Amino acid sequence: MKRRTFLTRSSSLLAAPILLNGMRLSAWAAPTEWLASLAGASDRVLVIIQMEGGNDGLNMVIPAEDDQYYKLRPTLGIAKSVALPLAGQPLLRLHPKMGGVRSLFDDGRLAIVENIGYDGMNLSHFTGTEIWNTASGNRQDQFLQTGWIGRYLQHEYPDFPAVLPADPPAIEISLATSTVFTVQGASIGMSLTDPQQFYGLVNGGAIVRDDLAPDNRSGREWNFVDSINNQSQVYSEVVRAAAQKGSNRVSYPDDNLLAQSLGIIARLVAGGLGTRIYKVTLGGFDTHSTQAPQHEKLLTTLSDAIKLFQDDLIALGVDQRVVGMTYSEFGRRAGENGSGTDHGTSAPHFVFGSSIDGGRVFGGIPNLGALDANGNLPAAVDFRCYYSSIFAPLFNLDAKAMATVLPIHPCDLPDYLPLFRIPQSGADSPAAAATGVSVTVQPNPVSGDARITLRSPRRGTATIMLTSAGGERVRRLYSGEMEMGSMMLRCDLSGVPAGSYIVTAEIAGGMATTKVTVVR
Amino acid sequence: MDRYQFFLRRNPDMPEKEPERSVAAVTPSLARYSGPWNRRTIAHLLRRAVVAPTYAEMQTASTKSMDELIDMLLTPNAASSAPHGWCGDCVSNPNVPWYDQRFDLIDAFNIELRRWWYQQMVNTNLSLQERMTIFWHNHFATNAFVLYDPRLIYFQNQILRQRALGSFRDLVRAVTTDKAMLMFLDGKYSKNNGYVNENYARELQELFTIGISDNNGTPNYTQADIREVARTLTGWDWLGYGPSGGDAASNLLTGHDPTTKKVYDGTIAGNTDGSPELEQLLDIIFNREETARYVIRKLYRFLVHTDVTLTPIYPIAPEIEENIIAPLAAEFRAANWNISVVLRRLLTCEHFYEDDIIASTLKSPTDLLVSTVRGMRTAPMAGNAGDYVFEIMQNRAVTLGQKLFFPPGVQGWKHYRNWISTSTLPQRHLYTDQLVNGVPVTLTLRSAALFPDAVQYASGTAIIDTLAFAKQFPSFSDPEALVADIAEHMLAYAPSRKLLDRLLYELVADRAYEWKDAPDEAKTIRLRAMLRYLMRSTNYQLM
Repeated sequence: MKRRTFLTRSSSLLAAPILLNGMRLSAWAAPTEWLASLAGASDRVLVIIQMEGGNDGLNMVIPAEDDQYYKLRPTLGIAKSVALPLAGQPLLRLHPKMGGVRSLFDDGRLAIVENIGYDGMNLSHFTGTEIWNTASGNRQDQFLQTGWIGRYLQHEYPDFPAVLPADPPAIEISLATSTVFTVQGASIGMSLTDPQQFYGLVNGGAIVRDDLAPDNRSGREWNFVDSINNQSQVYSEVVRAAAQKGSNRVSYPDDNLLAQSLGIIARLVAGGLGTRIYKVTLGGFDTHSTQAPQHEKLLTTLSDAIKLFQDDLIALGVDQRVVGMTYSEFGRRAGENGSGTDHGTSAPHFVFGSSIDGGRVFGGIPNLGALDANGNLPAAVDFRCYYSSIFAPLFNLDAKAMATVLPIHPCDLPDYLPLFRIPQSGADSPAAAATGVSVTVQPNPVSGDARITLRSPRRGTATIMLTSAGGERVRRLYSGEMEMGSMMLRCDLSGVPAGSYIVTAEIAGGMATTKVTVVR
Repeated sequence: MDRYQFFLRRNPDMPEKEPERSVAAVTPSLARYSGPWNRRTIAHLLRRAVVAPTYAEMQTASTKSMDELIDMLLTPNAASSAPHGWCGDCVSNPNVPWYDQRFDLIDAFNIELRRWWYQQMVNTNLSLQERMTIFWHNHFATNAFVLYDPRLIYFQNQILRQRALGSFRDLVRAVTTDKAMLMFLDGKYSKNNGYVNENYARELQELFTIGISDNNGTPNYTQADIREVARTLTGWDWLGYGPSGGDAASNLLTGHDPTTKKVYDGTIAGNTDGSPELEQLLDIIFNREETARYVIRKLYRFLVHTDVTLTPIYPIAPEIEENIIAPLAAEFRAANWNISVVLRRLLTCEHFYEDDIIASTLKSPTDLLVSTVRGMRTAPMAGNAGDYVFEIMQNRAVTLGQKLFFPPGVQGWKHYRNWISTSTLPQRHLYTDQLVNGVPVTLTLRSAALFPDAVQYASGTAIIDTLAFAKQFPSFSDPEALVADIAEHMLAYAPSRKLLDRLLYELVADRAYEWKDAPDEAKTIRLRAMLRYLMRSTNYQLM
């Protein structure tokens, strides 16, 4: 059964952006437990796809019902008739060339997070990219010198680079590693373009090692080169072994370099390499002029590559532990400049994987009626919340840990987006079994009174929250003390619009969730 | 164990460590350097100026004072000859872009242009011109793939090299209305009435002149300024390529916005002719202290020390800003933006010769490619032998991450430490191995149709004559002294005893006594092994 048939999607009209309307979700520390419950997923992998140059989100995920969009884009606007509809999303369509992404969305394996950005977005490619890579603030005194992934990995491998982990912690399929992976004095990511060639190069001549240099200006550069030299020597064998052991189950076309790079990643993951983070880049999104053909080509490349990669992961049987995400330094101006678009602000991005609760749109729809004085879109989802919502559940990091990964404006737990698939029944959830908390709703579907049963092995303060499938808080159903054992509540849901909802119950450090469908 | 236990156990608050940056032992000073003038300081100056001196150049330079050397370095080369096979008439209509008539020639000529530029860099006199041309190419980055007409790239390169040591304001003026930039950053599309394109207006300020903010992070301009600058620059286009594919002046054709503009705190009087508006705009931009400081910071990071671990969004160290950047920026303005004046000052100041400034720069791919050939060549590289070497350089530049004329974006290459990765470092080693061993090459796409005087797909070996190189040293017959002399010549960072011992072992194993009488063939084999090892050292990546 396709997972999306399980739910009837809520109307995106309901999905007002979380941060705009000021509503807060209840503690979403929960996703960490949901994901921890996924069977066999002890080594999860994040694949980051950078869209370099500032992707035009409005022509990728198209607000096709908004007349304002076509007014702002008299020549570049993509007609509703050719844009691809998305199941359960009457207001948004996809670029016509993104059939691959659409199929993943409809199949429930890809979610769209809309309106991602930050306050006072920097419209410089250079500074903007560094802000995203390092998760810096937008003021100079908030600039960080290490990458956000680098900070995570440095603390997981505190002795790096003096002591190298058995497998490379992060790999960028590129000639160079980006600042995402920078740690003090080194890069904790390694780069390669071809595992076999890499091995041959490293082992094709003398292995030269020298002593460490003193900690002064020239010595620090020396030590940096030395750390790279050491990594390439240590990792050439393990990477080759994984590449030889792994394989691909789909064919990646030669003319899609992004797909080729993702294919290498699929191979390495399948081959058992213990690398946590991979990164690839697709460049060319700075479409100031003659945008239409360029952007079409880029989105074709992106969509085809993501689809092939996901298909391969499924065929290889590793799809449950791999999550992909996209990012770009900014979106583009809502209004066109004749044949292209200038630098803009917030934009949508994709999160995909079999553990992702796909087929949903988070962050609302672009609000073209609320452009700022420069004609740019307001942000609804802070990019650090976007990062946190993926990263924390995936790597089982709590809020405190996330605050150290993202020290500037860390995302508050209530602002996390519930991107990951939630176990369908609280009672069945391994996470719930672990804490002993469970919640059930009867009847389901429900139109009026619902009976909610909460069980807990400990006494404490219980909170039961009803949220939309898009993650917005709808109603607090209960808040109060509860004794050990079980408790039944009767709640009148007759005022709640039809749609899919999540009931989240928390008590004494445990939590459980269940889905409920409201019908009218 | 839960992974995040690490966080909890180590340092829950995980403060960002102090920026990795030296605390200067001495206050950086622009005062004239008066310390020892010896082979180490001379080689340091020459490395920063021409990447690597040849043996002969080092001999010449050793007899010169600091001022005499700087005079040489600030003298441009004689005008270079055109690229091999260059023609404006080999297409039927020089006024029509190549991509509309000789699509097949574009790749061929882009490659030919790269070989040509390496030739200039390898064979340059002791002049800063070539390295500064690279600096300006990165500063005013345009991409040949986007332009799709090699003539545009060549013309822009001429602008950069002819003005590399001249007036920075003239350079900005020339680049602004040059065809390559008008096309690359969409100036030719920017017109009045709903077609204002902000691309060039933004980068002119952010990347080419004033910079996005001062060293304290205060923005230098607003989005409104970008809009006003864009309106000021509306209407520029070009009239074609001129006779024989030559340069035709860019001009204001249609679509200039004639209304008044306000940029920063200045006003540009509206005019139906955009030319005087451009001059007023440059007056306003060049009246700002920050314009001088931005460019001086970039020059400092290129020629002296990057002072950053990542990228230039990070401010420069306060003591450098205060003692080097600010006073030099003032001199830059006072000297009417004469680049040579500030180069002379920077390369003769105390700070430039501080002990750990020497060897504190990572070689860019271009530096690595050029330094290897320059460092070992015994004469200018010419003829087929030269072409094969330039071919391997242009070929390997791609895998090293710096394909000339193809920077990844308008911000130039992601340089500094990004140059060196687990991908590119082994590729660097492969390149240096290949040049001393010899590697077969084919002159890529040098087609007979394009180059009637050349052999189509000429093939040969790219190689450096390591024996001739070594024989230049008076210590040639003494292996231990020879190794020390070659290491001193090739390496910016003083080699360790351990490295020197290993190099001697590579040259003669434990049979130093056999060296003197060994036949040249045997010496060549041993020299190659020694040089391969030397150039695989960490040391060789520094300059």
